[in-house]
Amino acid sequence: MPACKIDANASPQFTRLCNHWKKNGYPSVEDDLNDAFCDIRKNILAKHGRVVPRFSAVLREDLVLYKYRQKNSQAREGARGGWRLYALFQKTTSVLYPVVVYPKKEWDDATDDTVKNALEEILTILSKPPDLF
Amino acid sequence: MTTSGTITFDQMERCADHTFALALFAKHASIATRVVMLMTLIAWAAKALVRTLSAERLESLTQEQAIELTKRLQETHDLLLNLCQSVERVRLYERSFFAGPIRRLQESTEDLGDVIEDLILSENEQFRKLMAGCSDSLFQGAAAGSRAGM
Repeated sequence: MPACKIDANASPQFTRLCNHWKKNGYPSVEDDLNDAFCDIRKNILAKHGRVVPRFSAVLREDLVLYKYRQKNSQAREGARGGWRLYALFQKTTSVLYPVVVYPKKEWDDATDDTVKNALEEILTILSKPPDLF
Repeated sequence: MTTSGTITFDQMERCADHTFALALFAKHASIATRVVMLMTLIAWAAKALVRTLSAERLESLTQEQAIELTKRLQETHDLLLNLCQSVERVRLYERSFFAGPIRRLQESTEDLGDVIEDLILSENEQFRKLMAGCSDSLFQGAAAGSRAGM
């Protein structure tokens, strides 16, 4: 399976979302994602990785959108849900850039409203001014 | 006419119909044992359905087909989700004999949920803009970084 490099610091959106989740009830987000990155570096399709279809029109030609699932280590053993991670893969350099991460509740349904609400939350977080430390 | 490696939209719909019918049957089987007996079959059908929904195949759908397929998949996912929740309520997963099929069903249900989510987001203008914005900020940053490093 193809390996890849991961640059988790390049996307300001990803950094902001990680900081937000870390401060808002998900202190394990970085550790969880680092665990995922270890596996994904060896195999781009690890962690239920799959290409997200129908985005080629909005992305540069050398980019492909991937999606991953990672367990939330704070959740109870065997729980479903966990982190959802979207990442842009640059084919020419084999670098994967995580861009969006969000927690999914156990047994969330897949209705339009559920997806829309999750997206609204992400957009609200990203619309706030970035934290300055 | 299709080759053996090509799956048409009709075939995707038929596969979704099969999974829907099985999940519907299981929902109405009021005795837990009946549900468990069907578990392996449903898990297999759900996995087969998810396999047909590859990115390449979904990429080729028209917008109307994508929307129609999403609705059908949501109905199936809803039934599968109810089934998974019922299985959890009666704690069937604690019996090792059933653990494998249950785990496979749960995974396929999650996989299907992710496919549906991706289909919904692919039609969502805000998410498309967000992805385009992420792409822009990444490569504007990279260009600036490489200039700074020169």
